[in-house]
This record gives sequence, C-alpha cells and structure tokens, in this order.
Amino acid sequence: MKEKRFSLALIPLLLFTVVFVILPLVYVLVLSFLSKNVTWGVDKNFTLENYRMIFDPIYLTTFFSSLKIALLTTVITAVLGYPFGYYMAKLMPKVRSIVLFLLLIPFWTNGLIRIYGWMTLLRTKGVLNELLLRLGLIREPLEILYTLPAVIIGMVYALFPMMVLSVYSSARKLDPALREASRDLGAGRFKSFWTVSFRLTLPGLLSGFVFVFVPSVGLFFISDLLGGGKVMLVGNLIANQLTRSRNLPFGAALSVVLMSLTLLIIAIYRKVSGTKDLEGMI
Amino acid sequence: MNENILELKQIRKQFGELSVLNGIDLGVKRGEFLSILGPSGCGKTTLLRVISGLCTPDGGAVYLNGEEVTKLPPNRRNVNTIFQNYALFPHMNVEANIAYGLKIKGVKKQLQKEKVAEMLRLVQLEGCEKKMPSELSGGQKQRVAIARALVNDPQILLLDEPLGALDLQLRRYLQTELKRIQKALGITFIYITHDQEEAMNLSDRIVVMSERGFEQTGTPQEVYDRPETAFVAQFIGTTNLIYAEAVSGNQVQIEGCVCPIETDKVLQSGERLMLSVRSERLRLDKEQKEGTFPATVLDSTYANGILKTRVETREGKILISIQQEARCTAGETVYVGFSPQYAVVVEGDLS
Repeated sequence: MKEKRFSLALIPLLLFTVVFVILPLVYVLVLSFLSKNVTWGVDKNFTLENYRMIFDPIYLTTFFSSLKIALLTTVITAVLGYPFGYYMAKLMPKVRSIVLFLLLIPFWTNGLIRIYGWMTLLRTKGVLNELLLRLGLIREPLEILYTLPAVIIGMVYALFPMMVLSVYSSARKLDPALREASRDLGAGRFKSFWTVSFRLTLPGLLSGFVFVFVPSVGLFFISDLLGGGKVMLVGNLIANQLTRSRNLPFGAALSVVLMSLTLLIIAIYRKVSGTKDLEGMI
Repeated sequence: MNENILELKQIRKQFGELSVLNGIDLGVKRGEFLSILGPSGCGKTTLLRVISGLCTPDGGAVYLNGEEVTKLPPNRRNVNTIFQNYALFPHMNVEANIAYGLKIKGVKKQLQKEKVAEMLRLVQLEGCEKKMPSELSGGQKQRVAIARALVNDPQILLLDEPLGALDLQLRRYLQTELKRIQKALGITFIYITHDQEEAMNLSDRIVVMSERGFEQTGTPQEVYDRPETAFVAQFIGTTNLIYAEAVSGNQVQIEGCVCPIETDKVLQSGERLMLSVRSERLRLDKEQKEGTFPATVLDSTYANGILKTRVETREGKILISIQQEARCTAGETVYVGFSPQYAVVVEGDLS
C-alpha cells in the first residue's frame, strides 16, 4: 500500500479527535466495567454487573418506553417534516432562503429556554388554554403539561428541523426532468411522485429518521421539564446515575449500550438506503 | 386535418414579461421527420413542451389526430419525449427504465419483458438489461431514453436536442441510428436542435425558428437554396448578404455594377433589397467580366479540402468565397460575381 503523505495541518484535527472523542470513549468504556464505590468514586475491579443490571425489569421497561417515545417522535416529525422539506426545495431561491432562515433561528437560542417557552404555552393556565377557552372551543382547561403528549410535543418541536433539513437536502438534488419524464411516460401526479420523487428522496427521509430517533432517546431535559419527571427516557436514566445515584459505572454501561444502539441504527440506514453518508451532513 | 397528425393553432406563451411564443401555427404530417431549428432561447423547447403537455399555452390550441388536447396533462397524450439530458430514472436499471410506461399502464409482466427485449434489440443494447444508468456511457443512455419512449408506441416522438451532450463522432453515428429507427417504425419525429447540419441530415422538413417566431418552413434543400429571410440564410451554411438596388425586374446594381438575378419577386426599379449568395456560389475572377464588381483579397485559408477566401469590396464590405481551387494572394484585385440563379432576395434589415 502506498503511504499517503502526512501533512502537518492534520495535527490539530488529530489532537482534537484523540482528546475529545477517543479518550472520552475509552474512559466511558473502561468505567462501564468497574464497580461503584461507597462514595463518589469507583473501585478498580473488573465486573459485568453493570451490564447485567440493564436487564433488570425496572431499567428494561425504561429502555423500551424510551424507544417507544423516540419512535413516536420520529414518525410524527417524518409526517410533518417530509412535505415541509420536499416543498421547501421547490420554492423560489429568495423565498427558500427566508424559510431556511426562519427554520434555523431557534438554534440560536438555548434549547432549555425554548422548552421553558413551551411550558408557558402548555400549562393549565397557559397561553394555549386561555386561547381555547376564550374561543369557546373547550370548557375545562386541557391538562397537557406534565403528560406524555407534552413530552412528544417538545421532542417533535426540538427535532423537527433535523427532519426537514435532511429531506430538503435530498429533495434539492431531485432533477425536475425526472418528474416530467414520468408524467410524459404516462404516470399521473400521484404515481409519478410515488415511483420517482418519493423513491429518490427516501434516503433523505431515512437519514431524517436517524437524526431524530437517535437524539430523542437522550433528550432528558425535555422529559424532565415537560413530563414532570413522570416520563423517563434512557437519557434521564443516565443523567440520574451521574447525579442522584452517583453510580458512574452503571451510567457508563447505559451509555455504551445507547451508543451501540445508535451505531446499529446507522448501520441499518446504510444498508437500506445504500448510501455511505447521512443526507444533510455535508 | 386528416393528413396532419399534429396541428398547432396560434400558440402563445409568456413567461412574466417575456413573450416566448407569439401565435405559432404548425402542421405536422403523419410519419414525417420534422426538425425545429433555431438558436438557444428562441422558444423551441417551450414549443415542444406545449406539444407534450408539460407546458400549457396561454392561448391557442393543440390538435392531436384531429382531437383537441390543449388542456390535457402529459400522461393523457400519446406523445413521448426524449429529454435533453435523457432524464433516466437513476434508481432503476435499464430494463425497469424502459418498462416504466408499460408498468404504469398495467401491462402484463410477460408482455412487458417481451416488449423491452424488442426495444433493446431495436436500439442495439441487448445484454444491458440489468445495468444501472450510472454505468452507461452517454450514447448508451441516449439509446435507453429512445427505447423508454418508443416502447409506449407514441403517435409522435418529441426529441429535445437529444444528441447535444455527445461528441461529434457519436452524434454522427446516432443521427443515422435515429433515422434508421424512424424509418423502421414510421413514427412521426419532431426533433429540436440548434445544429443546422443535424437538421439538414435528418429531416424531411425543417422549421427555422428565431426569437421572432417561425422564419421559414421547407425541405432541407429549400431552406438552404432559397432562404426567405436573412436570418435563415445566415443560420444555415455560410452566406454573403449583399445590399443591392433594383434596376429592373431581373437586374440589380451592386456597388455601381449591374448584375442579373433570377427571382419570383416583383422588383420595383430603385427599390433597395438584400441578396443572399452562398459562399460556395460566390465566384472570384482575375479578369473583369460583365456583372462582376471589384474587390481586394484579404486572406485565404485552406482547411478540410476547401479554400476559404475573404475579400473586401470597394465599399468596405467583407465577403467570403469558398472554392476548391483558384488560389488568390493577399492584396490582389479580383472580380466578384455569381450566376443569376444563386442570388436569392431575402427579407432583412436594410438600414
């Protein structure tokens, strides 16, 4: 094999990767095989106990309910985000850049603050209930905050742009001539969309799935704030180990399992979509 | 009406302020190979889209086989298009691309297979069934596009600069292929191109189009030998446009010299007009004869077996003569002339 020339410019990148990616990963991996100390620390003896604990019904239930919430969030963002991203790609350049800008504005505000905003909207005497009561659409205020729907709303809200951008970037690559060709060959509007446009934007939709599903297992502050502690995600479970329970090895083991799950999902994505890159991660 | 498979009446189309088609009338005969020849931006692609239904005209009517189809969507017209960049479906292999139209129509699997095989034979691509479009060369993609359109038995095949992206040799080869296929199937072809040579080689009839609309319609020979406008004369082949003044019904004065011409047009004495004389019809003589006018040789270049000589007349007009021989030296005085039948009176800007 020919050796590629090593460039000095690669050193910062290499250092960054080692210090901020590889070392922490190794640290977490090692930690997950140690056992917890009576105090903050850990004892240096090898054990698989942490991994066994995950299969404890209490934790397993949390895992599955978290996956269920993630799936629900993903499906809802897909249903809302796909048409959004698809039509955004068809807009005139000027309008498109405005829409894109509006879509990205929320990213410049802290996510936590934005979730507090949702609390104001959703609470029993909040903006939404006031509005619906005034309009006479409801008689009793809706109890949304601190329920599962509130958590789903928050998650969909937070991850919606991910889905849109992912679909958008794949819809942008769609050659309009292909749609015209299918119409020309006898396909009606729907047939044409289904056999050509949808099929060709499917990689975008699938990568949107990954971009939404993966983080929605771990967005613990959303379920904390909007779910009122009643809804537990894997993210909450990990956060609790690191704070309240002070069980770092178990938290590490949960993290390792979560990361493996993510890798599995990405592997499935690559297999299904036949592409190597995640759409939208340019 | 019966003889014409396609009839366009007063087609108008505007994009914003820009008027692209201004009342176009066109009749296309059954089984003919018609080319629409014009520079880019003259509206020829828009015209094609009006025929296929991908674009609805602002005014006018389209008749296919005597039936009005102006408002019908493309999937309900028995017309197929070969797109400029082929527009093959990248997620389908060659077989699936060709079978697309049949599948949409719900043709039985077995029949689909047979028809696809027949098409592959026609375009000589047997054995490529399972290849993806990305694995094909430009010429092969072109053939798949042709097969994909023809498998639907269209009444008219529309071709939008189908050879534009290919190199010269391949283009020449595919031109003969297209002609062969058209002859074999007897389908009406409407072929859009900006390449005059392509249009000349392929067509039964050529429509020359400019931004103003249709300039002239006729057989390749008619548009070449008897151009009606200065635009047509210049767009096809190389020509010399010469200002002249009518002296009598069949004589004109060019730079003070009286030359005989043959024309169907009725010329008024003293009328200013424009003549087109093809470069290969422009004679350069060393001695002054009757009906010739003097000019000075600027330069002479030899390429592809022909000699191209540029001369400047006394009034400063530069003319080009193409000859097999008769080498002239730069600076030499020659006498420019032409046979009366080769000077064609064309419409053009006389100012």
